[in-house]
Amino acid sequence: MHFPPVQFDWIAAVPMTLLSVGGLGVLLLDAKGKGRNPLVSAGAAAAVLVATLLWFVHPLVPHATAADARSFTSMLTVDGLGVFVTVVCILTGLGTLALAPSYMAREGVKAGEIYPLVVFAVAGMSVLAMGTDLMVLFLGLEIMSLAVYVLAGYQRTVDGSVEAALKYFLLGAFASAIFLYGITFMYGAAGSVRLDLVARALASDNPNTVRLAQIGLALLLAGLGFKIAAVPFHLWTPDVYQGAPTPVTAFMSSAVKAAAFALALRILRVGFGAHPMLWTEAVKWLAIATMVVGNLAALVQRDLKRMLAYSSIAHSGYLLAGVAAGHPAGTSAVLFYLAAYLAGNLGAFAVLVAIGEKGDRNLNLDDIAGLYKTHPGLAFALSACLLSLAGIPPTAGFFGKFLVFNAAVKAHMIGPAVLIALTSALSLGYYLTVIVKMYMAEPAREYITEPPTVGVRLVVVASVASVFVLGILPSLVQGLAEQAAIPLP
Amino acid sequence: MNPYVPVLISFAAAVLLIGVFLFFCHAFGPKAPSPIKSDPFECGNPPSGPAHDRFAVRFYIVAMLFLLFDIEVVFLYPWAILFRELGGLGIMEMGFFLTLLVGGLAYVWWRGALEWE
Repeated sequence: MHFPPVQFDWIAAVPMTLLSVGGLGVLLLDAKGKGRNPLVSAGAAAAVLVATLLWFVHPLVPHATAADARSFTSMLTVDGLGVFVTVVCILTGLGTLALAPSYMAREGVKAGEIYPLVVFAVAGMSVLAMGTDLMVLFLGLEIMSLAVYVLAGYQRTVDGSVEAALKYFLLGAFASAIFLYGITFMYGAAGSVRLDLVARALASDNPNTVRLAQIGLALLLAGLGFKIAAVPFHLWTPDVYQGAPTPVTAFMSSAVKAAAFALALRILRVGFGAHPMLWTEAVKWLAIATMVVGNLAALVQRDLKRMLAYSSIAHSGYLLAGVAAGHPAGTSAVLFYLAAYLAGNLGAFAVLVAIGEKGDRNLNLDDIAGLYKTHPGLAFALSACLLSLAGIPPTAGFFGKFLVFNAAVKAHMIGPAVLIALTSALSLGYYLTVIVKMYMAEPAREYITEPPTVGVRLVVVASVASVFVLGILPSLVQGLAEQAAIPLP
Repeated sequence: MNPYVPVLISFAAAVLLIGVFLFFCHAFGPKAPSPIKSDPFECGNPPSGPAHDRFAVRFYIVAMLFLLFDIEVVFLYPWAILFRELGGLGIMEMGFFLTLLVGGLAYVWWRGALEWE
């Protein structure tokens, strides 16, 4: 068997290298200090993330253009999609790092490995976002998932957290195995795991190749469905999101989702872009089921974390509708939606961190009654974020939903488009309940929470600001998303 | 003819032969059952205590660390054999790999995972 020599383009691998080596540095720093200085570890981890962010935006860095973006023999592609999603994941990581110290201090968790683990997870996400080879993508998926499994079970003396980690790990390992099985079918069909070669093999329209690739794609979609919490692969989501520490839940629901959607877009667009008939229907029905089940289940939740978990499932449904819409409009809508969802979701979880008591016991719908009277700022922030998640103008979520709706209509998918509008109206049922409780009800109890720390305040303010900035001036990010959605030649 | 047909034939022959042996044993073998013969047989000492005993979690940590650094050597061997052919790039890559592992060692050391008590 002949293997062509691999080209080494170190420039393309700089972000992953920065993140993984930097993460190791943070790990050692934390271990040397015996985990006694969480703020130092969090700061070092944030510095690593900011350095990676600067690498992307610094004008002196040689930027790969679409034509020469492929590197490592087309195993890694530094294109708009990859950079956009990596930046979304890095921003989520920064938010998590800002929320974690005060949450962990409140819960009495001493060890500081949470900070390097967030950096490692972001490293995996960057590989996921930029990989264009199924094995490289699998590697990224595992680097990300292993770190997030540990993060979910970080409070190992708390039953809920251990349950979350175990459920997430067992089901996640199963999903990874299914994904890997799909890769073997792809290799059988195309003779390669590189997505561009898969596409070339499919272009021959050999019925055997197409049939094998179809089986492989079904398995890949099942694995992906787990990671993005699409119905019917969503059963783990509520327990894991509720049991995991709140900053980790914020991280999982925003960053892991963004990275998994980058993976889905990459596989479906690069590998199967010329064969939409193989996957459009399947993704469309996944989207429909996810929108309906996620929103209906969220309606009956009393616990806020659990409600946001179901809301996160519902948002996966809207995003899937954008993926099914396919052509550049759908992709750019998905990317914008991911950014808008990050703003609203991170802000909502930041408020939950700020108002929570030890063990998250007071995050029930009745506990936040009258929050407006005691914490007007937090009540306003939570309202803004929830309205954005519901898709009310002038917030970021409105434009996200509008773009996805638009893309679905353009792709003649009237059913999903109507469902986006209907289920969004339905979602107002649970988002508005929270807001009504906060503003109209009398405080049911005394709040003994301490004033939020600087990190939590920063995240809340930044999220609310981005919710409104993206809602009033969506073109700021929309241009980037459209640029990122231009397919590679 | 499909090249796998001989494999199939030998597979079928094996199954058939086993079936024949089992049938003849069953049909013609002498049978004298007794309660002692029907007992489940175990070699060695009679078991003392349940097999699902509890271990100290430290053993798992040691076993895990052993596996990690054992696997490291698995990667070092092929590299050492192809050392000349791989050249400078090979040294760089192995250096990077070992740096990561040494980082891991430093981490477990500093966190006290190597201390028994």
